[in-house]
Amino acid sequence: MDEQVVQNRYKRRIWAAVLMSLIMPGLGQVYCGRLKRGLVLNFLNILPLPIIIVLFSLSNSPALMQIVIALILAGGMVQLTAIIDSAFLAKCAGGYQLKDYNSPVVYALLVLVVTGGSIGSALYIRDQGLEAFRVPTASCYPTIVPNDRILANKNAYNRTDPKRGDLVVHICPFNRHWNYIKRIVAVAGDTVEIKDGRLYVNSQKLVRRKLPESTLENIRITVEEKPLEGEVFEETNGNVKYNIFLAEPPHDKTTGDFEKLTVPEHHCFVLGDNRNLSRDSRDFGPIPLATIRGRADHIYWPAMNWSHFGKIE
Amino acid sequence: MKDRKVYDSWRQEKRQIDVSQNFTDEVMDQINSWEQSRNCPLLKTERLIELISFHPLAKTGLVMAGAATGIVRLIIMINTILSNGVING
Repeated sequence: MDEQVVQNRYKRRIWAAVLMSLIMPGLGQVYCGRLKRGLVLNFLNILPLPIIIVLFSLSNSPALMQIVIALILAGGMVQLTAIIDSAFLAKCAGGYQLKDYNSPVVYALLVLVVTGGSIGSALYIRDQGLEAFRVPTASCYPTIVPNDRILANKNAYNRTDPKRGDLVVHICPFNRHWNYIKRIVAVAGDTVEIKDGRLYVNSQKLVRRKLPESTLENIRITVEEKPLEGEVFEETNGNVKYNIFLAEPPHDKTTGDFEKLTVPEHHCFVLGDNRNLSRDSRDFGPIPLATIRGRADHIYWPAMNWSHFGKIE
Repeated sequence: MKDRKVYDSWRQEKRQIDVSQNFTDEVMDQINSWEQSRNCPLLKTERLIELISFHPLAKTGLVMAGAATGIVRLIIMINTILSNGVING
């Protein structure tokens, strides 16, 4: 009778194993006496995070967002596996001899360490790798639609200088607490000029190709409660091509010429893709490279059209 | 002298008690059980788990709370990364 009581005490309960696996993958295995397996499963569960950091630091692949989603799903699969495995282990455990680590203090410590580590990694990513922004403005329409959510890569210029065509998030020269998103059209040493509404870089008029109206399908917007009308062009700037929008009245607020200027060292000249509705280097001149917070690489939450999800073209 | 008498009578009385055959086993069981409980201070947790096991509602509630904790942990992490800055222009 007494033996039976002792055995019951040490029985591993399926619901308790599942509960622990839900709180933290691998904890259910620790509860069932499989410390190594639990730690491996936990490691596999948090592994996608450092992989994502490395991927964003080293790669600029168009499929990066899809890879990130696949990695997050893989992390979810590991958690599911951990839950099922822990339930199975608990079922097969029978009379279980308690181990030294079968203590609520150890469980709590594991959860604290892993959760602290995960949040620490997340803070590190935000501080050093990626920063998310919501873009409520139309200054980079049609590339960025108002209320798109983007990811800026803070490591993009660790090894290379910003180049023409890059879409960057930079500190607003008028207010240091504000962020602007603009496209670099000229870098240090380039000359830049706007004449009759056309952009000249190094005295070369940039080629524009008018794109069909269907380009704006599903991303039509209103500005100040009036539909934003205009034409969309593909502009070629050196080796890169990007879309720009020329708004028609009443939204053509920043048309006008800009006198020829040579971009100084450690600076770049930025314009909004929505050329007639953007405050940019035409207002505040070239911006210092040190004010660039990151390169806008990805849209992770498109406001209107999910075909815009992923790499910003 | 009086103490000696009291002691002898107590001894006589105890000698008359019938000791069962498995008395030693019972004592050893008690000692083992006590030692186990001393070495395993978690027994209380185990007992608590046992207790909850008999209450389906408490069991379900706890598992739901565990799932919620896991989800909250994930949300906190994602929110930490994606807590939005705002673009002003």
